[in-house]
Amino acid sequence: MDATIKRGGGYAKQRRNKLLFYISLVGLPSLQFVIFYIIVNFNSIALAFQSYDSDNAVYFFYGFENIKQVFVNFSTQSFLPAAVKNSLICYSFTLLVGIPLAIIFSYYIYKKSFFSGGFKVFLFMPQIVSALVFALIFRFFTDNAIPQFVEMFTGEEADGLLSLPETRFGTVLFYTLWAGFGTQVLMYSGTMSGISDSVIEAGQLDGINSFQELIYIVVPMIFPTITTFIVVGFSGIFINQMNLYAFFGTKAEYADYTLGYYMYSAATEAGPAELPYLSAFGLVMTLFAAPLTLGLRWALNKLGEKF
Amino acid sequence: MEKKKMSAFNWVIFAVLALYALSMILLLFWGATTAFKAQSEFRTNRIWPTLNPTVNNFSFLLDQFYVIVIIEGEGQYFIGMGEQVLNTILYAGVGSFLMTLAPCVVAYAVTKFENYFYSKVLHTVVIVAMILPVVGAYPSMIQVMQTLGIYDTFLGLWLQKFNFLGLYFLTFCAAYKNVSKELSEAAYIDGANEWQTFLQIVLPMVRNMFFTVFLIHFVEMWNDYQVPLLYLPSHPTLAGGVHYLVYKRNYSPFSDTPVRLACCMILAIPILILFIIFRNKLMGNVSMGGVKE
Repeated sequence: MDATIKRGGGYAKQRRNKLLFYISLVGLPSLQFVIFYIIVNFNSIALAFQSYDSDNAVYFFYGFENIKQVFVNFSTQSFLPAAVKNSLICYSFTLLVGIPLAIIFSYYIYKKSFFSGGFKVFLFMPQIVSALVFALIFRFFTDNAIPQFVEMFTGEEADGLLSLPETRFGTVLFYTLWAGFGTQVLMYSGTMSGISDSVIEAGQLDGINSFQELIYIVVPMIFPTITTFIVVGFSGIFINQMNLYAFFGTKAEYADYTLGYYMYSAATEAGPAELPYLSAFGLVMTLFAAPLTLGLRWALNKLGEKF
Repeated sequence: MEKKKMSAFNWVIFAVLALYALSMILLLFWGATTAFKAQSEFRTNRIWPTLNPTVNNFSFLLDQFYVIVIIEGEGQYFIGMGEQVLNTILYAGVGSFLMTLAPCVVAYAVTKFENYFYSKVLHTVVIVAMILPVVGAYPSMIQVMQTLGIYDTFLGLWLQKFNFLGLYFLTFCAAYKNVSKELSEAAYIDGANEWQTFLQIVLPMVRNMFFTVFLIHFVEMWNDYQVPLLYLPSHPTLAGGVHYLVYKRNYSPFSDTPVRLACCMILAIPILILFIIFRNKLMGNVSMGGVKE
């Protein structure tokens, strides 16, 4: 009997120790999650329905006025529809040009073709060197060296690509693509390396060429990873700054605004009175982004099942 | 082993990638050489490398690379390069350690005690947070941090970074699943408690992954100027200093392109050295989502 009690007591103690160990591991991170995710996001929703009384330095309930103001501003401030358009152009460009190119480059690296290791370093370089540094060198190059090149060949004075309104947005878009391959290429080539050799060899025995191998074997096999990037990119429509803050600070032209750039640059200069409107703006964006992103994910998963 | 001939398709990709690499070399070379050019020469020669390189831009910056921080009710402070470097180390060093530690320990708890209901909740929370886009929580984050009295403090930013959500939680979970259970069980039989088993047996087995994730975060945070600008405005980091010099000091000699490029080099060189040393770790075989069966 005594032995049973002792064993039972030992088991209870062991369970208690395990539980204490478990709590010590997850306790602080859970608290962090509650404060910095749950409370912050709930507060963001609450803030969207408040206004700031600067005389008494307090927030008060303001109903749906901020939300209404967001919709009013979309019809009265031309830069907001332009920001939506630019954000969509950026995503479409990345989707139609960036992702296919990243897959093709990854395939080259996966096949360990000539100098693939070196190309991997170059593709990853913009992720290593600060985005700010890269964007600034690019900006100074396009605004200084390229005009002098043009002058040398044509004899006519030329402006920088980022100074001219007609070339500015295209140049920023090109830069976003050019500097954005790194992570995608690492992920795609990493996933490709998990494809069974026997699958590739079976295709080769059937006489397929490299292009067919990429399209009919590799792409379907890595489709879950492609789906992830398409979905992440889609939710990025609402937060992508397109490097505008690195190129222009808070002085980007309204015509080039993206939603992400507007949100971030407004937040850096916001006082207590501006926070509720910005929260309302974020809330409206989330209300659009969340169902659209989840819907796209569902549709892509369905498409993935067909492969 | 017989080396295979490259197909026409691969040659086309090679040509595109070669152009890409060339454009990158050209840009970085132009930036690096222009940083050693005098402004007087740059006015007439904006393209070619200088034959009379000078380190004056760098020596000028070492002396003048400061940020003016205005604190309401207290006045203005000059934050020099030394303090910016210290701020960067505090932000990127401690921040990336915490950002790696949180998913590392929570993933261990969730993997080891996978039958606990709370473990299942945590796993679901990570997946939901990755899928569900939340846009524009900056204003609320500022307000919450102000309320807690940790806005514009390192403690506040470190707490913000002690976050287990994200891809690396799943990566650590996968790593722990591969760690042999027999080793932990042998440690228990030898009398080790949970902490000893975790710290002395399991953690050393995932230390390479821990170091890789830490390095990735460190590089990101060293280069990051946006988060400190928003949540740590009185403690500019080196990246914040570069941003400040380029966008707030629009007068000569700070506005001279060679000086600005020298400033960029000061930020880029340490991280390039780090990359050269640890490139294999930083560009290791990472995958996500997996291959279809």
